Amino acid sequence: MNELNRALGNGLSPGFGLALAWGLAALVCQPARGLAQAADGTVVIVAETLYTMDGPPLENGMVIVRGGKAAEVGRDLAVPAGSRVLRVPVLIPGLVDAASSAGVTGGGSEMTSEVTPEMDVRHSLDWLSRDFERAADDGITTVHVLPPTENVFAGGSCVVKTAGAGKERVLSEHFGSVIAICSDPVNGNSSRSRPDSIYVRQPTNRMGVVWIVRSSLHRAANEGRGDDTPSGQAFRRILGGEPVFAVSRTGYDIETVARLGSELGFRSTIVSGDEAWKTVPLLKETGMPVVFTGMTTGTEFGPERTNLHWNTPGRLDQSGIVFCLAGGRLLEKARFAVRFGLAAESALPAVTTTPARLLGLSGRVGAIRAGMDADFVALDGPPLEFTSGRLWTMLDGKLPDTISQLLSVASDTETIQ
Amino acid sequence: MRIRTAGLIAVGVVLLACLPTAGSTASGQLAIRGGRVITMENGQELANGVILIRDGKIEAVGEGLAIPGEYRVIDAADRVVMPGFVDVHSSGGMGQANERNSNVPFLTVLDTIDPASTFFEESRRNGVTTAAIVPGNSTMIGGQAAVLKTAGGFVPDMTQQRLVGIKLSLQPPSGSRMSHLASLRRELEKARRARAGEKVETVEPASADAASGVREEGPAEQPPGDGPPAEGSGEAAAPTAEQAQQGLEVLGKLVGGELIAYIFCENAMDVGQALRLVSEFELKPVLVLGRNCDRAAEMLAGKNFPVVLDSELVFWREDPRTRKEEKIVLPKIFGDAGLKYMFQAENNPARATLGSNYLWYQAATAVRYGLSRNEALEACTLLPAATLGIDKQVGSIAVGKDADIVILTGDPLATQTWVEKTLVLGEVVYDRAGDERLRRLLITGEKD
Repeated sequence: MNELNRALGNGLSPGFGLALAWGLAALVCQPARGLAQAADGTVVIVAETLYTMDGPPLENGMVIVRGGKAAEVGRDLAVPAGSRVLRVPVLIPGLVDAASSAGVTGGGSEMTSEVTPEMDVRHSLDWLSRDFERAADDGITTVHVLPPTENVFAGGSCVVKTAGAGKERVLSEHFGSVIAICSDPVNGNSSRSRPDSIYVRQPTNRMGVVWIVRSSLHRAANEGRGDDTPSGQAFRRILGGEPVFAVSRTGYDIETVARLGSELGFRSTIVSGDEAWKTVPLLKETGMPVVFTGMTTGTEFGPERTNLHWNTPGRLDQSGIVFCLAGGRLLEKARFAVRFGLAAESALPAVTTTPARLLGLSGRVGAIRAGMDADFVALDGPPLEFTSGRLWTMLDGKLPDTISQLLSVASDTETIQ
Repeated sequence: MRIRTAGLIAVGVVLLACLPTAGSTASGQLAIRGGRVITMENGQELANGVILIRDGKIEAVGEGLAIPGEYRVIDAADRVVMPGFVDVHSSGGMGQANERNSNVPFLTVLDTIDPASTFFEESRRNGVTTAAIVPGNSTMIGGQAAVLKTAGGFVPDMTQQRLVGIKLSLQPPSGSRMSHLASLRRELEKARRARAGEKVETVEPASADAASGVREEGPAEQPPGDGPPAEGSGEAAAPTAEQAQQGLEVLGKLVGGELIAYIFCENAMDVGQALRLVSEFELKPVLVLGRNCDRAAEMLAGKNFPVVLDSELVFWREDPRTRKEEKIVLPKIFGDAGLKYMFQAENNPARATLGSNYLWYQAATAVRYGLSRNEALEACTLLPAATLGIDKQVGSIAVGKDADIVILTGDPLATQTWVEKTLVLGEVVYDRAGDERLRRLLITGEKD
C-alpha cells in the first residue's frame, strides 16, 4: 500500500500514470485490505481536473473521503492529519448504467407465463458474477439491472452497486417494472403447438404483445383492490405510478408505448430506443425519457435490424429530451456519442447525473458532492478522449478492481462484524 | 447549313466533354497548404507545411514553401495533414474470403474484389489509401494477396501489386492439427523441390484427397475474427493440372522468400509452428495473430517478424481451471515484450465492436495502453508500407512518394477528428462535404 501511495502521491504525468495503472493490477490484492481498513480513516484525492458534475470542472480539485462517502469536495481543502493522499490527473464520478443485465444468471425469462410482473430480477443476481467485475473495469459503479425481456411483463428491476458486500450493495431491491414492447416476447412462440401444452406461449405477434399489456392492465384497473395476488399488486403498482421501463427499439414500438401509456395511465421510460430519433416530436410531447443502449459503429442494429442513425444522442439532447447512455462500455459510448454530434458538455451527464436521476438516486450517486457515495473513476487524461485510460475505480471509498479484491473486501467486513 | 451547325455543336460538345480530363491533367499540379503536417519521416512534423504535388507524386514538402501560380491549391491551414493509412492485412472488399478447397495458391483476390463494395468507401472515409487484400483465415493455403489503392472504379486501376503474398492458415478447418500441418509442410516441400528444378508430381492420387487438404466438410464452427466461411455445397472441385502447376510456381516464390507468407496463427501454439516453418522454408513472414496468441509474445521477442494483432485489442478471457476472468490487453502485452506490431480493422461490420472497424481507433486504443503516439501512427503508415515492401511509394509524406494524403479536422487520434479529404495519387477521392451517407448518419436535431 505504501508503494502505491508513494507512487500516486508523487503526482502523475499522464504518460507515467498509464504504466502505473498496470502496476496497480499487480498491487491490488494486498492493498485492498489496506485501503479497506484505511477507509475508517481518511483518504484525500487530489485531481488535476475534478469533474464534480456540479458546474465546470475544478482545477486541482480535492475530495476528502471518509466512511465511504465524499465528506468534503472543493479546492484548497485542509488535508486532515494522518490521511492518505492520492494524486490523479482526472477524477470523474462512478458511472451509472441505467440498463444492465449484469449478474443475471440461471436462465432467461420465466417461460411458463408471459405475464410475470411480480417476479423480481434480484432473485437471479449472482453477486460475484464476472459481469460486475467487467462493469467496474469500465468505471461503472451503479447498475440498474433489468430482467430478461422474453416476457411482456418482464418483472421488477433492481439497482445495485457493482461491488461491495451485503445489503449495502443494494440501492433498491425493486425499483420499477419492466415491460417488453418489442419482438423479444414473440421470438420462438408458435401458434402450432397443442393448445393444452405448457409450451403454448402468447404472444405470437406484435398485436399480441399490445393485447397482453392492455388486457392485463385493464383487468387490474377494473378489479380495483379485488385481486390481491402478487401479480394483481404488481399491476396496481404500475397503474399507481411506479417507474415503468419499456424495452422498445423501433419507432413504431415507441409509439405503441406512448399510446398504451396515455390510454391506461402509466408513464414509461424507453429502454434501448435505437430508433428514438424517428420519434423525437412524440418523445418531446409525452416527456418519456430514453435510456439509449444503441451505440454502434457497425452497420446493423439490434434484433429488429432497426435503421441506423449515429447521432441519436445528439438529436435527443438538442430536442431537450431526457436521455442517458446505457448498456455497458459507458465512457466509450459517451466518446463516440460526442464524435457523432452530442455536445461535449452533455456527454458526461448522460452517463452520470442523468441516469442517477432516472433511478431516483440524485442525492447518492452520479456526482462528486459532499455527502454522496465515494464512487469515483480516476483517468490519466481527458474523459472524452479515446486515448485516455482508466487508472482505478473507487466504490464506496474502496478500490474493487478484481473479484479477489472484492472477496477480500467481503472478508474484511466479516471481521469487522 | 443546319446539319453543319449541328455537326459543329456536336464537335463542341465533345470538346467540352474532354475538358475536365484535360483540366485534371493540368491540375496534376496541386498544392496543399497545410497547418500541422505530420510527415511520418523520422517523427517530423511541420507547422504551416506546404506539399506540392505533380502528376500524382509529391514534388516538394516543407514549411512555408512558395506555391507557383499554376498550382491548384487546397487550403488546409487549420487542418492536420498526414500520409494515408496503409492497411497491412484486410479481407474486406471481397465477395468471399475463404475457399472450400484448402490448397489454392493459384487463385488471386483480384478476381473477387468488388471496387464498389462499402469496404473501399469506408476505407477512404477513414483515411486508408492503400490496402493489402489478403484471403481469409480458414484456408490452409489461401490465394494470392494483392496491394490496392482504395480508390478507383476497376480493379486493374486500383492494383499496385498483383501478387504480394500468400495466406497460410495454421488453423485446421476440421480434424487434427497434426495432419493439417503435415499437409501444409508437404505442399511447401514440393514447392521447394520444384524450385530447385526437381520434377514434382502435382496431381495426387484420389485416395490421398484428405491428406492433400481437400476439405470434405465445411468448418464446424467459425472462429472469431475470421472472414465469412466458405459457402456452397458439394465437393470442392479439385484443381486442374494446370492450376496445380501455377500454384507450385507461386509457392516456389513463397519458399524463396520473394513473397510475403501471411501466416494465420489461431493459438499461441501455432506461433511456434509458424516460426519453425519460417526457418525451415526460409519464408518472409507476416504473422497474423489470433486473439489467443498473446501467450506467444515472449516467444516472438527478439525476432523482428512483422506481427498483426487481432482486431479486438482488449478482451476478457476465462481461466479454464479457476474460471476467473482476466482482462487481456494485446497492445500492452506485445509492447511489454518489446515487439513492434500492426493493427487490423474488423471488416465485417456486423461483428465489429465499438470502433474496432477503424485503424485510427486501434491506434488510439494502443496509445491508451502505453504505445507512443508516433509509434501508433507509424503502425498504420510507414511500418505496414515497409512490411509490404512499398515504403518507397507510400507510408510518409516525402518527395517522390505517391501523393496519398489525408486531411483531418484535428489530431488523428482525437475523438472529434474526422477525415475531411482523402487524396490518392493526387486526386481527391473522398470529401466529407459530399459524403451523403455520413451526413445522414449524423443528422442533427435542427430540423425537428
